Amino acid sequence: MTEKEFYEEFGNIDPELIEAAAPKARKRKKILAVRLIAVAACLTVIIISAFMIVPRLVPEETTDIPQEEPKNIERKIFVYDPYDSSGDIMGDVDFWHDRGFLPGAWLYHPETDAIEEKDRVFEILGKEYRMKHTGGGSRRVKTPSEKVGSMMLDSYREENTKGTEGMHITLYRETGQIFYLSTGEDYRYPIGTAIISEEEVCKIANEAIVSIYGEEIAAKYQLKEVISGGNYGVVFARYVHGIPTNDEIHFSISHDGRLLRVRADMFGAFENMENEVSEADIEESKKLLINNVSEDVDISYYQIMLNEDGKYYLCLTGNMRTEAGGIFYAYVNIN
Amino acid sequence: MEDKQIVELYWDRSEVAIEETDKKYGRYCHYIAYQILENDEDAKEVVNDTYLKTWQNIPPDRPEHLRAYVGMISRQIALNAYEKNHAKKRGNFALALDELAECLPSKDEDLRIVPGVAMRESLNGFLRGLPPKTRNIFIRRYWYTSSISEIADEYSMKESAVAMLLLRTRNKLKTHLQKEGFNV
Repeated sequence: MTEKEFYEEFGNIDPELIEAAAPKARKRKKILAVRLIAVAACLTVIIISAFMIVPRLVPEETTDIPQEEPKNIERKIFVYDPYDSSGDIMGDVDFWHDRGFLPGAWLYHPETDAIEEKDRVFEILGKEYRMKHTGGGSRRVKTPSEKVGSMMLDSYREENTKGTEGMHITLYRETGQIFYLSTGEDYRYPIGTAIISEEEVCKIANEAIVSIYGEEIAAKYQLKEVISGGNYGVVFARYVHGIPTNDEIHFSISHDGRLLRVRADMFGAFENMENEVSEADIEESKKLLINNVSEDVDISYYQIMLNEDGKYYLCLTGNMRTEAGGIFYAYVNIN
Repeated sequence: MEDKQIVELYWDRSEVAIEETDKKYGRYCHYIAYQILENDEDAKEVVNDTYLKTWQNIPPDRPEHLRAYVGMISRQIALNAYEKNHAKKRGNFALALDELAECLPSKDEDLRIVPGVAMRESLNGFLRGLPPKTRNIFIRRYWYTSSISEIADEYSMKESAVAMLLLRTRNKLKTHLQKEGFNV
């Protein structure tokens, strides 16, 4: 055995041992010079702002987000530390996994007494598919906190096909909308070098969402991101008060522009959301994350999520600016 | 997102699985690769290859510990890249390789090392028998290829103390492998 082989063999030790020894975030070593520079920079900004030299960066017009004072809500923050990199930098914060807490669950979709659908014809992007009803009923969902829920689905497959070939569609029985669609093609990633542009992919995805969900529903979703690398992933999200939610519809489109797959896990979950979320609520949540984790956290992203307890949470993603890095997800209740 | 959910995304062949893996473990994989290759661009390439390999392997795999799973893949890809790109050994990784090689019985002895399951079980047994701090430091050095100075800083120890701890543990490992019969 060579030294390299031995080194490779050492690589196969038990995962728990590897996890336990993972690098941790290091405390930022504050150097006096850095502090002085930071203070000087702050003073400079204040002086310049006072003389109105720097133009306003915040537009006068407000966005969709209402400009309100923070509501008098008792905020709770739950933090998820996926790298286990918190070390001793965290204060007295609830960790989500200790509480069995995880926003975003299928429990939103209830059971219903609707009658099962029979065979039918679906029209997808101008093409008709004669589909046979293959089954329906309750789909059991077990969440991380061991809570069990269910939702009613109906499944269809294209006539005269077998196995995974042909069109497969699963509908939410409650609303009759598509939960899942697959054209049956092999969409292993990647399957080929992309020959269409992202712009063309977006056009296809926009046509698909209108074709599948209708214009009225499609208008409630905004294109959020495009993931490329062989095949394409296009994500539409439902926005509420200008903030993306985790009611997302994912489209898989092939490298040459064919629709492969659609999936809508939390479809309609925010249809009846009455809660108002103001810019002040967001700023308050950001401060909570920074105060509870570290001043070295950059808030890179946030979205509204629905938890299995039926409540809405603002989920913030924070990246550590320190060398060791690290990501934190914080969930703050907004109702 | 929890590991189980990400794994389910792989099984569902959803490309979002890769995005979520990147969000959660991108830096982790980069760290592992960088420790071996000591080059940011090479490390990034390893991370991308890790996602591709993970996509190809899940399914049929269904890893329980996703972090360790992608970490192992990154480590192996980085090792292969190192082997390919470095005719002459240098740097932190080369040093770690040389250190760990001390645990192998000397070439003068008439020995046969048996790789595979037996070796893995023996290494696991050895590591589990160590005090936790010693074990973690040893794994940091020879699995994560962290430098001695980084380890010393994290564990608030002197570098010389870390080096001594590693030396003694390597000697114990060598004795352990011999006792386990990894020789003839």
